[in-house]
Amino acid sequence: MRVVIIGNGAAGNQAAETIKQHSPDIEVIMLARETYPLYSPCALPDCLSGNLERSRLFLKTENDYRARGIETAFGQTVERIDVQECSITTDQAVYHYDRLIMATGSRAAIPPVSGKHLRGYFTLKSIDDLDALLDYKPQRVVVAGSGNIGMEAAQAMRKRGCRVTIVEAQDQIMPRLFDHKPAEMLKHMLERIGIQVVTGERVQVMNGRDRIQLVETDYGILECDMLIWAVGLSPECSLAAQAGIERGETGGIKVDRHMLTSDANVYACGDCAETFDIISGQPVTSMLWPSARRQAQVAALNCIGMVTEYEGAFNVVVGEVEEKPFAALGLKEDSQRSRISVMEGEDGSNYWRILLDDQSLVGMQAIGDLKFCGIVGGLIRSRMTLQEIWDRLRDPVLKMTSPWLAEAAEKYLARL
Amino acid sequence: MKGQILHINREKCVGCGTCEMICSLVNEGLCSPRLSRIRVVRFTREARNAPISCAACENAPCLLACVAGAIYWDHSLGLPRVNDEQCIGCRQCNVSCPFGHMNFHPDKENAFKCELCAGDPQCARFCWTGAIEYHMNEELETNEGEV
Repeated sequence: MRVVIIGNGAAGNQAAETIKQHSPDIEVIMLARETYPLYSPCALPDCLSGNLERSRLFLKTENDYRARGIETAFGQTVERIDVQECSITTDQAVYHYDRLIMATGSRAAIPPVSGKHLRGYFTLKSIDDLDALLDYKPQRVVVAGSGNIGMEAAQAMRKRGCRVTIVEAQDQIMPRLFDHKPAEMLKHMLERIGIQVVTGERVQVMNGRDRIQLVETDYGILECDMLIWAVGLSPECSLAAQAGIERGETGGIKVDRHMLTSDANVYACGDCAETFDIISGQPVTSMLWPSARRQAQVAALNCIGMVTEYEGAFNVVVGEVEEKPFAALGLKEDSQRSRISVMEGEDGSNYWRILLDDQSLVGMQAIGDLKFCGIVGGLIRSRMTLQEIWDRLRDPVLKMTSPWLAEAAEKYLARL
Repeated sequence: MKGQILHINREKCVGCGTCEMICSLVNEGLCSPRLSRIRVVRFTREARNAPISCAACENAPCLLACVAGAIYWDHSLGLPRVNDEQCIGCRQCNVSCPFGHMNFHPDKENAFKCELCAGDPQCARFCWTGAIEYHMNEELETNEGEV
């Protein structure tokens, strides 16, 4: 059997490794547009800030692929997929497959604004983006968007000595990850390190003579010589769409619990795949590294006939401001129709909040001390109800068998 | 080494903290329970104690979460390990461990976890009550790993 994987990111590599781990005899070919071996896009901001050497971004060498028996065809652009013929046409060759895994990932979105002919605007998604950013020496930087990439990019440029402004369209920063109150705290932390934060405004126009000199937002003008777009990622699924593979409501390639697309020989995983949220069951394109790897495992196992179901995507994001870590897990306050109640607490400069629907824990956000976040995350993921947690803690034998649960409950749930 | 696991018998633990001290001493060079890989949860009211270490999860969440390629599976020890050189200190693994075992070193700014002292875990060697032992998996009676 021959499996072709399109994409050389977290998902593509995990899929290849998983197949080779279980069935070394299956022929695996990886196709990718970029020529680099696997690297970590999540570490790009660390490299931008100067904290990390560029060479450490790479997680594999070309030899690693060969040693695992994975055939690679990098530097090729896939032009067409023919699902009837089970063939893929690139700009250099034609490949036939028995099973295809789409791990095409995502690309950084740039909204339709004017001034795209100018130099000086960037995204931060690939190594080429990073290299371009490092080559450009700006004084004043505007970062459009305040998600995880925006936050990290802004801090990295600040660390490089630039004056930085974040422009966020929503009325709070990190709108997809944090509720209003912790978002405000994070905003103040950013301001303390000298990053200006503007919310409720959108970058509308990029302006300047051949390079950006200012951007216009809804309400004003910001002088800058660099603009970094960090307004989100869109799933890369034009190839799948061309091939007639169904797309979901979020724009990603629609897959079932086995990561199988609408075509019986084609699987999809990673940023390009639309799965479902583990808690709400709503369709999501997760865009997170751990989700991509887990989805790739599931796709790979099903591909080789080992039937496995995906548990659903769980939101876990960690970051840092002012050397203080923050984390957001699971759902936000406004992400479900049912009423969510909030429990929150502060000790010293640490803040945490846990979100509950009437039955169980659905989300957690914390700034500072993250010690028990993982335990709460485990509880959220296990879909244990509050009643079950209490029953376990009241039973002297069961309590002993899960001491981590007792620890977290004592810290967070004591007043329930 | 291979097939051996850290066996924790909570019935025998008296909460003396010797394991925490020896762990931080051999791994970090100083006696500080906060730098210990193993941690003891003390139930004062029940007069019971429960040490927690790595559950060596199959398909470990910490390993899947690592964006820096720093966490890998050690086949001879049978658990995930952290490559300090490669760790970028992003804390992704810390918030992925459902047992709260993945730790973060405040000075070195990297993740650390139990790596069984390369096959001779000192917590087991120094545990004088016999609560922590290192032996073959067949004798496993504990419920470690169950949530």
